[in-house]
Amino acid sequence: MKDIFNITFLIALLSASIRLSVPILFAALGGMYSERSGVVNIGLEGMMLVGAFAGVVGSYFTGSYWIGAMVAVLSGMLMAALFALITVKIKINQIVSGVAINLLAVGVTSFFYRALFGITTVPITVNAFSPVSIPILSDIPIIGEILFKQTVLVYIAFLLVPISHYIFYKTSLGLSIRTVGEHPMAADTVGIPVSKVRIVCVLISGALAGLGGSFLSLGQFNMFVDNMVSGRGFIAVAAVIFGKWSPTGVLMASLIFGVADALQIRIQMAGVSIPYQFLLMFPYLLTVVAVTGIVGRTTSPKALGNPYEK
Amino acid sequence: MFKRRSIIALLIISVLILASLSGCGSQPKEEAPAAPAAPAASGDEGNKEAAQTPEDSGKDYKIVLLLPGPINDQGWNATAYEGLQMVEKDLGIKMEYIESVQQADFEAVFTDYGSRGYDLVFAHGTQFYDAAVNVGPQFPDTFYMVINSEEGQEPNVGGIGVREWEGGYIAGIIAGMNTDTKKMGAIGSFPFPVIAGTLDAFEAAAQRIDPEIQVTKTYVNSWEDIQKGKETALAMAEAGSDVIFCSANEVGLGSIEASKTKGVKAVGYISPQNEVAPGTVLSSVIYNTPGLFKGTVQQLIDGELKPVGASLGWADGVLDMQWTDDIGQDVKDAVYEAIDELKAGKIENPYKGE
Repeated sequence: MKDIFNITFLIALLSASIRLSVPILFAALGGMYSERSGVVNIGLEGMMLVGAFAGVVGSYFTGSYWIGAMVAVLSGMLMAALFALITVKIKINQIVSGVAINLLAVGVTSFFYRALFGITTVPITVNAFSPVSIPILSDIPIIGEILFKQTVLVYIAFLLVPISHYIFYKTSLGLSIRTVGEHPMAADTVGIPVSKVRIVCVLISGALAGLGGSFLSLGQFNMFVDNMVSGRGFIAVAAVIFGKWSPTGVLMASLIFGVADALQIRIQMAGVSIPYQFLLMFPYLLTVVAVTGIVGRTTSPKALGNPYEK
Repeated sequence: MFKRRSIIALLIISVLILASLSGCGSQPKEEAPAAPAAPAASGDEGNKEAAQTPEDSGKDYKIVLLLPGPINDQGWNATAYEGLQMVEKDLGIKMEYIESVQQADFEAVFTDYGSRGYDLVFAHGTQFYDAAVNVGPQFPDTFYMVINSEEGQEPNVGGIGVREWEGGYIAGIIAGMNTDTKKMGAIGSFPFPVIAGTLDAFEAAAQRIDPEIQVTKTYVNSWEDIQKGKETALAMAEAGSDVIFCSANEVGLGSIEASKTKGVKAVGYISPQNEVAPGTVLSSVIYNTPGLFKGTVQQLIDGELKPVGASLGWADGVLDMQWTDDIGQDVKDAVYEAIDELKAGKIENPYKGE
């Protein structure tokens, strides 16, 4: 415990927190679009997993991790299109459909991995993103070290926060999304195409979740392993609620989860006499706290979870 | 509308019943209803016959392997799958397998295969043991072999325990001889006695090389969360550890990746991992699990399966080394010395308990 709170430790802790929060941030931002339009997207986990896999496949066959990330986005959207078809068009229960998407993703990724690469004892490795130092900014003491020596995907994730904020609160598209999520009938009467808006939002959520998945397989690693997303999609669902369906809230929530995880690892290592299970529980405990609404009143979009019938 | 639906449902049910009956051609047994997952029970006369005539090429054996995870987990389950391939290649017996069997389904799956008259059901993990003991007595013609269980029970539940701590011990010797900072990290999946014992053995062996060595032990609560494995190993390296050891399947890949990033060393474990990161992985302590499966199936053919628990280690050829060229002769000597001591039973299991 002795040298736990020196500056090097803090820098390491915070940059680990950033890395751990980015996949959650991507997926949670996506989930926010979907939920703001009234569609609960439990399928984020599955869309991330497909993205993680597709990113590796794209990079493997083209040699370019950028194309890999593009393929991840597209395949996340493909899963989302299926999800949108089921929930928005056919109007089947969103939670059940989301669970189905997650199960499908586990099977699909595992199957295609084996079909393409066989059963390997050493995983297939591909070209992947490496950290990029941003000139000038990365020279800022402490902050530069934490924020500006990351992979490009990290910068994209953080840029998406103000972009989403702008879209939601400054554009008519944002207004349409919010209206559709709050009162689809009112939206319909003023001529907003409810289903179309919802489909677009679900597609955006798939794209971002896919990108979040590729951050794991291409931004953190250069490989895919079965079920590598390991519940981050579910944490993202909680982060959307925790963040009260706003881009800045989602950013804060994702960062809190990231810090909790990074801290948990280090406290365990320091040999503090807290049972380690308690530390591992920490991020999930936060999730429960978030979902039960202990942190302030959480007002969800009013039409959340309800299919719109004309 | 309602009528049409019920007709469709009836159709589906009858097709299912037909499909399941066509598979057996004899009267279902009375134990059948206990298996919710089973389409229907099949008689086992055919298999009994097979079991009684071992001279037959063996193609008639019905053997299934139940795995707690996916076969491409680069670790525990992957080695079992290799075992299955070895049985097929060397003994000419085709085994079935199911991946990612969930804890809640253990008994149902055991009941399913028991009622379908399988000769041998492999369950790849000690966590299957309780379910095997519960279900076993109902199906005396099926033998349940629980890998990594050191117990067995009459009449038909056997166990083959791997003394994993012996693997951890050797990894500790290798790590202890390759550290400069005298600090190293050991990552486990869950603090099961088997895993905790492996980490304790790693520590004990490292401290045998140099009593000043400090080993940081942590658990990631996952077999597959490679990002957490990477972050844990990064944090260990940042805190001064210069050798990382991980006993948690895919998570180990994460720790090796972190070691590579930080320029520290890693010890490969379970599957041959030297190629994952040449220059980073010192050498790998590997499991010869495939041999276990072959041996057990051979016992089945010879009619020698016994409902007892076995405990295997270096002395039984279950563990092996994959060396890299970077390893010096002194390390090899120390490792072989320790292996000999383990074989001779001179080293106590250093597991400290909960």
